[in-house]
Amino acid sequence: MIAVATLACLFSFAGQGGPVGVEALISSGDYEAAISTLEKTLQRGEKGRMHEEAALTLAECYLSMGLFTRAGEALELLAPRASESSRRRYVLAEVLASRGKTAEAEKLLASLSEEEDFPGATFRLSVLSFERGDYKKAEGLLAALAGSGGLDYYGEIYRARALLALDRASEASAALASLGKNHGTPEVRYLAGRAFLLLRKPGLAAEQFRLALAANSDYLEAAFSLARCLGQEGDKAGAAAAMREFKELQQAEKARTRKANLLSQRCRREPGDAIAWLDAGEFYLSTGDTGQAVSHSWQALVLDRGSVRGRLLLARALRNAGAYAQSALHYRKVITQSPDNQSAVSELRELIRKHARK
Amino acid sequence: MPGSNLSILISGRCLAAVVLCGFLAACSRQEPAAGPEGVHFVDVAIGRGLNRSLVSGGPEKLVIVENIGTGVGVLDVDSDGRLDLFFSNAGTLTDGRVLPGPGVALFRQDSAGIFQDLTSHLGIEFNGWGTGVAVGDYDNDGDPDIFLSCWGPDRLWENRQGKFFEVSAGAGVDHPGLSTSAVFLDYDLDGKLDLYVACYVELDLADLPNSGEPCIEGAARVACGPDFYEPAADRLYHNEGGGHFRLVSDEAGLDAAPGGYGLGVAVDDFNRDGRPDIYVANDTTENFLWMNIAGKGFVNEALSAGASLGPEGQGQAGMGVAIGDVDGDCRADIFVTNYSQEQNALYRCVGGTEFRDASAGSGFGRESFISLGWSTFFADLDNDSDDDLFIANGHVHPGAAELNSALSYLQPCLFYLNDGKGDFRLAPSSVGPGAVEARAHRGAAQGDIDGDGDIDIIVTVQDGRPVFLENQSRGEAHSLLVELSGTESNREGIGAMLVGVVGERKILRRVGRGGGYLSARDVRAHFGLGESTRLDSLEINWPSGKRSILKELAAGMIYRIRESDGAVEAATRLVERN
Repeated sequence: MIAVATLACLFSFAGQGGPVGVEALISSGDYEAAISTLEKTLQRGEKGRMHEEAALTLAECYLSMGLFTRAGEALELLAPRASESSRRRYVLAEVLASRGKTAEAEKLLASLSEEEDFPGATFRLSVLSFERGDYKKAEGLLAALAGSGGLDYYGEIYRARALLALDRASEASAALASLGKNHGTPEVRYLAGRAFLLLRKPGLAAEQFRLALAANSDYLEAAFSLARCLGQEGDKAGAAAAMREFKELQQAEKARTRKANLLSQRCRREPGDAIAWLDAGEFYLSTGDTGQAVSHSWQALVLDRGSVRGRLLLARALRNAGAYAQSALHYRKVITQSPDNQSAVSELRELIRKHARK
Repeated sequence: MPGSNLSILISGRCLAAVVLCGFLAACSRQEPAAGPEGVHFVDVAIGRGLNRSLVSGGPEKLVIVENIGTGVGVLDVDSDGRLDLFFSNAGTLTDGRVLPGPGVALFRQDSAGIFQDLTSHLGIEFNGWGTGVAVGDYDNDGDPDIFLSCWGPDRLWENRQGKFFEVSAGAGVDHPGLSTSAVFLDYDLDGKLDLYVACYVELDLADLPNSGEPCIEGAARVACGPDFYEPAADRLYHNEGGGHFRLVSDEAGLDAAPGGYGLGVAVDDFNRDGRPDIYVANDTTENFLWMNIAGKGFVNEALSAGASLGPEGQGQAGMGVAIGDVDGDCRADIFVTNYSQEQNALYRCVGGTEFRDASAGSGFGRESFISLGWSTFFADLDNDSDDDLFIANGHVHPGAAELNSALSYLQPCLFYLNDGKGDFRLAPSSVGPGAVEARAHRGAAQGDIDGDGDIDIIVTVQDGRPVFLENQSRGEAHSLLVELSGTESNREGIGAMLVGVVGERKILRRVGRGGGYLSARDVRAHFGLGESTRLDSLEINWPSGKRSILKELAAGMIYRIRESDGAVEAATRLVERN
């Protein structure tokens, strides 16, 4: 679920500038065309504002594709300046974070969060704080965002998680209750259950966990928590049955983790092998990790632009991520490349039928 | 010697339930005894002769076995009343081959507190790949024997009046594989110590995972984690007597749980049925809580007990384990050290065998997120009658900072002080020179090594010399030590539950050497008494079911208590603190 938040972030930053026409390409999700245009601009070798803008937009495109190494390389095309723009600092922060330079990334994001024109920086800063266990800081940042009305669904989810980690279950419960009115997602149900569990209300917690599982029967954490709270309620039979279901999910999860580890290591071992990225990307798509599926398919396409398999994977990953317009674009590209690809045709048709207005 | 020792001997286990109820009722939330404000530890290893280099693979640590590290055992090998030290040691890997290391080391402490390396002189020679150390008098002859977990066949040295003889094969414990922590316990209460050995992964250098290549994290090459390997099954040996052990893992029910990447092992009687249960910290998978079924076998109840996984059901990278009474309610709580970017886990016992994950609400959890913990134990570090906590930290990857700039390979140990009510605070950095120095710590064991009545700590370090953290805390707090001499029970009284009363406070101690990580602590029970100059009473619940009660034990002494009549067999004065 957290990966979805990252994905939402990735989709939201490209296209803030660049040479004429590039913005439209980026808006449509056609990053490859945008990159092609930007690279031509850069190849002209003219220094100045156009060059700077092209390099920065190129970095933003790669960032949107989840290609952090290339984003970093694009940043290096920029001339060093005493005063960096907020866009440049944001991309750099993301690149640094992807390299594990989290302290440096947080420093940049902290400076950005103080600037009114970059509210997304505060959210990213809170996520990084959360990921290194500083729940207090994460919650403080998110509470401030909430106070200014700048907290979206993912922000609320992070805030609830931070509050739970801080043992402030009542506040988490209140935050989730307001969120739940509009978003009765499995994750909201699950977190609400955890809050009730911490508040020693196992009956109410069990109800929430059941709702989460009803919507997503593979929800490992909800299955575990349901077993725990049934046990606390004294329902031994129910707890045992729930624990059996949890164990089954757990075994499947272990197998998934092992396979993901192997596929991921293959990509790192053979970074120039598009097939390795495709295999991993398809696996991630099958497990619901759309963020990884998107970035892996882009990586494969960067290595092999003509890969129909890569393009189809990207279209599907974008569809599953809710980026329907971009997904449709890539389905069309698949069909252009391979008119007989019936999967692409039928999936595009279904996509249009379901999401034409979205 | 105490002024008046009243000894009462009660046979049979039938009173256990009644006693337990009264005991628990009297145990909840008593006021803490006054104690000093802090603790002060100084690393005195060099001055005391502890200069042996500890090795665990090469500097890059690119194969999982190199990350495990080494352990230490605290024991009195020659019954001279001074604690000696046994260190495991490993080898190195070069081009897929194992090269011998500097070898295990047995240091005997002389009357001046200096440790002499008498390893081969005392009959021990081994320069293979050792990991964990277990100590126990398995042949009940009055001196402690040494078990060494290995990558390769495990080793057992029998102590015959201070000289050691390797008996691994004859004893039937020379099982190959990659074993880690081990502990002696008498699970069937037949008076003979059995042996539990945690095992890690199935490791074959000729068939390494990931196509034989190290894994890549960020830009760094690192050892592939346990998920890349098949887990190895833990082993339980039954002591058949006559120097022989029998592998009983399957018949005891251990095969009911899949292998779990075992690293840390501790023993306690969680359900107070008089029989020892076993807790195993497993790396990345659920931990085990092996509940003893009438001494005939074990059932893993960790999941149903709520002491197995993280708060969201996630497997955590369990390394070391400590068992203690965190909140003074006389129930055994479980603390498990985990990986960096995971909280250490505190499972608080809320009654029976039900535990609640209290990691989030405790300082232990929140502050541990960045550090990677290994050995850990509860002990009364400041002699104020409650359980404090020690954690040895250090990352597995020498290039940890390349993975995440918030991480570091070398990390300081942590000392948490209990306010007596279960609220812990991190001891300030003024805890002492050398004590908070960042290193790649691994094993650690506690004991009153200098015999002055407070808890000292020995810590092993990756590719460095050991650390001897001598407790030099000042203050007027008193203490005493209790050593058991079993007759019907095993000779060392391992498994006995001791309840000391000082004023209104009850202090719970379980006799044993397990817990922590790869290490074996001093078997003697330590009682911090705060300002009191005596322990008002001491109740000993022997593994045999006998119960002894002693009254008014003066501080500043080491008491050896005999099981047969519950009397003080010997009392020795503690060394004056400097």
